[in-house]
Amino acid sequence: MSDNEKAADEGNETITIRIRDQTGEETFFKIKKTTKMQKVFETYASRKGIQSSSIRFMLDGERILPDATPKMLEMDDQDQIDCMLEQTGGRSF
Amino acid sequence: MPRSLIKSFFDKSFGENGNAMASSTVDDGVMLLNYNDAVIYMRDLRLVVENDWLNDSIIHFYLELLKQESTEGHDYFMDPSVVSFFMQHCNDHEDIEDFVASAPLPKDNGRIFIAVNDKMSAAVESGAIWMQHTSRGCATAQGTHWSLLLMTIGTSASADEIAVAAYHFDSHGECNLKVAVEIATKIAKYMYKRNAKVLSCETPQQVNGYDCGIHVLMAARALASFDDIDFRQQKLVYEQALHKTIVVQHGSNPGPAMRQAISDTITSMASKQLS
Repeated sequence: MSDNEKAADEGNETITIRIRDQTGEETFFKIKKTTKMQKVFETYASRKGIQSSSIRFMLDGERILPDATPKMLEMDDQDQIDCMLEQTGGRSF
Repeated sequence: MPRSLIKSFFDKSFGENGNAMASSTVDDGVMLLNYNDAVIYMRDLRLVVENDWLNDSIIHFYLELLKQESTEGHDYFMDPSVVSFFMQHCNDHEDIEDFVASAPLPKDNGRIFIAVNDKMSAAVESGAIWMQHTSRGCATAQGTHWSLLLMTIGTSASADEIAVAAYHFDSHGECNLKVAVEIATKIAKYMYKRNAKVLSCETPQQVNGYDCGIHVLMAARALASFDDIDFRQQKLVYEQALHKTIVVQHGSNPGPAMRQAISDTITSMASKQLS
């Protein structure tokens, strides 16, 4: 296999990732290793019926940036992402 | 995105005179800024400009700014999402081990700034997860109150042991004291194998029902810019610093000036980043 073919092969490699929300419920996504996480976030948000700007995603306690890909994050099959809800506060009387 | 487009977004969203317009919600999902790992959307900026409750994105962004300004390198600012994650998702031994290994927290002689939200408690109520935020009716957010927890990690008088102290600053009575104690206790226990006593500090009080987040950021700035840090700092010294930087400089209502400053910073950084 040439280097080019190898690179193309890696790009097409798919993994399944699990998104866990604060209740512990898991949602599965099968994605390419080169897919931007923003796409996953948006799909997840629309499935849940919420705005993607109001949820935060973390991998092992660190924020995932929208531009990151599973490849950049060195994610493996069945890895878990934690989804945290937006927090707010003002304290009305 | 060219600068003119940004400007048109701002004008459309906030009007020429800074007044919010109802039609602007379509632009809420526009990403304005990406600073380290803090991402600011149009919707976040609107919270600042429209005297709304601040969310964790704005708080995290501002703490990131303070982190960049803190030159000594002994101040650590925790992302509110990371705190929630630690409190709610790190329950078994393995989770906690992983977190302790990766968390960028001081081993000794340092300070940790934590914006406390009342919903960070480990005891998550069922059904409260995708709660509707009533103030604007636009999003799914949780929590009602922010306060500031400052943990200091120093060496004890005998200089051979780590000593952990925690100070809590709440602009609305002692609303968040219970959850602040919960957070300080968990961090002290797992990060430092210590007990932490939380001291409730005298704090300038908010004069409205929406500026607790602003008070947290002002307090964080006041305490972060403290020269000559002694990690056995007394409660009184912190209280005086807060009084001096908030009340003396800004009077009883520091909200408007601080909101303006944050909005100016975001606007100017967004223009630079997107142009």
